Amino acid sequence: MIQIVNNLLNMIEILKMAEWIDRYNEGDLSTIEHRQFSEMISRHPVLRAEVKLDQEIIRMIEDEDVLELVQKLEKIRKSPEKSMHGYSFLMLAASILALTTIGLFTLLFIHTRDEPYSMMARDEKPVPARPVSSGKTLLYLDLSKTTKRISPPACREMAKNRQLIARYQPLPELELLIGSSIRADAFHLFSPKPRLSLPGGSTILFQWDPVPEISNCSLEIIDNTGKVLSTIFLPNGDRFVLDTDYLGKGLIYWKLIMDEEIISLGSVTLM
Amino acid sequence: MESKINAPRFLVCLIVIFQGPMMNAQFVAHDDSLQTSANTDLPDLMNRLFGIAEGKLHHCFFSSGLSFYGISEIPVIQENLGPEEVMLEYSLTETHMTIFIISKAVFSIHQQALGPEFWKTIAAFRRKIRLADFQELVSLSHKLYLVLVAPAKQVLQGKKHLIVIPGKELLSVPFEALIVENCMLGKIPQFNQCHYLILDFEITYQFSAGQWIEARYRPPWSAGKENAFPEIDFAGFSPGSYQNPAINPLPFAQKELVSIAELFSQKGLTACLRLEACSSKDLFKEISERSRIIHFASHSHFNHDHPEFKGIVFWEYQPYSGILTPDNGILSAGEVESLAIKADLIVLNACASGSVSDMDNVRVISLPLGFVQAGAKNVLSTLWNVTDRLANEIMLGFYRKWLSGKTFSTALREVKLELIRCRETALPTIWASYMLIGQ
Repeated sequence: MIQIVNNLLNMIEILKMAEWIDRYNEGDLSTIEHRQFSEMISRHPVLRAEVKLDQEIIRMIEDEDVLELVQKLEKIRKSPEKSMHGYSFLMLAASILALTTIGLFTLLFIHTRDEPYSMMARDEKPVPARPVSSGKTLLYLDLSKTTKRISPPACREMAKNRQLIARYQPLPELELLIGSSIRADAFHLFSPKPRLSLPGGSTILFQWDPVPEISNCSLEIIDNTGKVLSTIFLPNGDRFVLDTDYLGKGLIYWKLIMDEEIISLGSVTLM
Repeated sequence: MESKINAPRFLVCLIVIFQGPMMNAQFVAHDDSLQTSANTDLPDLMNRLFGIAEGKLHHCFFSSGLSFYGISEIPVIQENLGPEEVMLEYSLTETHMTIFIISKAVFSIHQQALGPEFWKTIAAFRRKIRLADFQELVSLSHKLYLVLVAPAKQVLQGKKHLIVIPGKELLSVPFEALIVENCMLGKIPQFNQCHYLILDFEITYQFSAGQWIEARYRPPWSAGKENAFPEIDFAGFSPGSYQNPAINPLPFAQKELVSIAELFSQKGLTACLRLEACSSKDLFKEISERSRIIHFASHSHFNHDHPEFKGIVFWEYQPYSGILTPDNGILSAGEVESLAIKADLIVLNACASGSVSDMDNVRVISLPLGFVQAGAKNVLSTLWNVTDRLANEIMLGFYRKWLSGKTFSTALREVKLELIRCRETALPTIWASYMLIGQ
């Protein structure tokens, strides 16, 4: 029982720690808090590693333009009305956690009225925790325990996943241009379909109606940040096969260009 | 070199003779007895201003090399400009650019040397905006703003309407999309947060100052009493699908016309739709003279070898029939010029319907120019390819606003601003293609 309670409290500590790291990296700490937390960072290499990792994650998120999403989430988190809808699951989980903790505390106090509960596991040596002021409340952080729980490999895995997700995020600026015919007569594309999902490394067949007036035709491949990955000048004829081997996984866009005009635009999700 | 003349009544006229490079331009003060008023008879006024017997005003900017510019039209322009309007007229040679900045009270000439960098920037901007290429689009757009519009900043203060007379070289530059302040926020530009010129001004274009004046003097549309046939408020042409099955059908083009016709009928106005096989060139010619708004929602045709046949496509169009003839279902600029059009507005909702192509170094082919010369007061056209679905949505928004009492230019600006606000449609490729030529 005590072990369960310990684990639950450890989880709470971990969450607190993660929140402190977030606040530190986002610049939300007051001057005093910042100074105290900086001191802690300088004294604990594991915490330092965690903070650095969190910074890297933020940078990666920024790179992938997910910052907008994060800001939206932040907004939702800060607004109590909205968070009711968005975080109902989390609130439910927190309620269960709180009820369980209270229940366990009550049980503990009923059955073992010996000594006040220690945050440390019994077999571990107590490490003096430094008080960190957070407004009116004082938080006691036991770094030797909390930092063990946020393992850098797990965070790296999370960051990697985020990065992977970011590669599949659509580029809103191009989405509306996909698939609709253009109002110029010169070209009729049969294949591919405007939106495709294929395993990575597949080939894509571009096939069009052979028109004598076609000239200066090229295919531009763009990633989901708008960066042009390659431009291929199309040969005469009525087809071209694109090998996606070199593109990796993610969402890509293609533009068929003739005489400096877009004549068709589509997207391919490479799984 | 910059000369500035501030005069409420500009009686002393200047004649500027450009001989070769602009730096050699001679500014000759010339006391002229020409005093104009809004009541002056138009043909007489034109004769006096330009010395052109038939009132043909296409005299300035579509010629190059040794040219003559009649600046004596400045007082007439000033008289016709509203208090919130500014006209920017551009004249470009390979090495120099002259901007005539005219408002009701101020006339100023700004001249600057142009290097190859300027022409590279123009070419890159045109290419990137039409190809939805994000890279450097913002910086190119801002660079062009600094060269083309910033010199007029002082005169533009407090003004709301910009009349741009771009000249041949700048006719394919959408001034609306020029960026006043650089807005790169991270790797991907936030196109919905850019400060475009359209945020500050309503922008319209004209081929020459003379044509702008002429359009101002044209009588407003009124239901004809002398005609045997009833007048039409809205005439729409869209084949949707074509006689030749090889041509891509345009499902949204027909929807566009039907929806617009509904809007007109809700306001008690007459709408006449020519769809499918009825969307023929002959039927267009039949009702072109008695339609207030003529709207084409179709494909456009362009042929490198025969730019003279560039035009709007009708149902009977046969693209692969070998030699192109005027009877192959294309309405070309040359054909339009010979018509007598009284319309307040012509809408050419097809791909690159407003693009200009060179016939030789002097003459140009432009469908909107053909309509303006045929008598149309306003022409709404596109500078590059548009998609069927978005073209439909933009036009519906435009007519909704116009039918609620806005002017054509206000309606178009408001539609564009709505598109800019939304990230999905904020890319200038989507909204900046539409260009209103006229009043």
